[in-house]
Amino acid sequence: MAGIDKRLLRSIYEAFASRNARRMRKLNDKVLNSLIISGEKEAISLAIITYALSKILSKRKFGDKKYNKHMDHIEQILLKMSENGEVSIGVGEVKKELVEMESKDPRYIFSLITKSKVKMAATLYAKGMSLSSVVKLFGIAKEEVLSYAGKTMMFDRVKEEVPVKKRVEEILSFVGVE
Amino acid sequence: MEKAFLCDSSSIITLVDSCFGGLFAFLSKKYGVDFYITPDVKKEIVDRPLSMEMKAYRMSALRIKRMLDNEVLKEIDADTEDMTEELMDLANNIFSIKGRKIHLIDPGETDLISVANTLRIDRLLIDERTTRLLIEAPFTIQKHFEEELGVDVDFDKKVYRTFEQHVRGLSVFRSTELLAVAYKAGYFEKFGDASHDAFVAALYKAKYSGCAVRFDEIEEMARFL
Repeated sequence: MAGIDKRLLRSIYEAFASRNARRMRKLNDKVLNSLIISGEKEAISLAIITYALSKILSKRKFGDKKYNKHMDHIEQILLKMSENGEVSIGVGEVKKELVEMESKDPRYIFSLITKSKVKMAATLYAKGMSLSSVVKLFGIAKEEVLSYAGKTMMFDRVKEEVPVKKRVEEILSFVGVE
Repeated sequence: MEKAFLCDSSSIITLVDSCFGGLFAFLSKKYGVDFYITPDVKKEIVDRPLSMEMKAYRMSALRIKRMLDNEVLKEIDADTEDMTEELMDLANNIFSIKGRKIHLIDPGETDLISVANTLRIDRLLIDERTTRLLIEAPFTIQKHFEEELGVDVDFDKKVYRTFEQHVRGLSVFRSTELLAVAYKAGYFEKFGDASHDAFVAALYKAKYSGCAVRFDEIEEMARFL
């Protein structure tokens, strides 16, 4: 495996440095696509944190000065990661900062990292990977992905080749219901 | 096997989470239908949630365990390790991007197909979308990947033909179709005049719980049933 493209890592750093949530979301999608296309394992953890960072950048509360130290530190970590390409170490350090930031004002039962994992798994499932594959990649439960996916439009974006009437007629006949 | 369905975890999760686990017993009693799960599916939907620190899925796991204890759901197994691996190998070599194979499915899905083949259970209950499309319409997966990833995706017809031999004859149904059967069999009669409304509401509930069904399919079922 070649590792994550340093240009992508540089873009991630720049998106964070400019506090651009929208750009971070687009980069997150690029990371997910690279996971499918290249199978690069480091893309898994990178996808989780880029999504988490996009949420941080989009929430006004994290603009408060009590988070400045953490935001600056994340920026430094991302810059270093873009220079040395050491994704695993960089991601681990970013995660620590995110956990500390959340602990200052905990509002939800499930952490940002956990929610990020579910969202990433569901997005890969929506893109076409199987449910078992995505839960294995992110270490989460199928129930979490199904519950999330069911509330999106993912199933309506793919045309069904077998008419539902045909399915129903077949199953009624098989069970013996008139 | 006579009237038997082999169920994957997604369909059981959908139905139990949306409080329609009762229809398994209802159909089993009224029409002698058997619903089977593999040991791996049992691990996923009963053993794992009961051992997890997070309690969110414990209630569903207990409901499913009760269904197993009462033999509403039955555990079934076969020696399928070789076939599961072969199917995994085939399925994950059908699609590729610039020569790199796309990892599509895991043993969780191929094991079900292997057991179905070995025990000659031709009807599968699967709410998960990718496996179902791989069996029914693999070109849909190719087209979808191309749209999502913005790149050309190659389809290895030779590999697929070999895979297809293992899935030929299998019919896949979703929890929505099982709800349709339950409706026609009288499961929603307790709602009186609102039985059709309750059935349609159940279809939407199944969709929101993760069943891979389209809105227009639900609307169609509501019309013709």
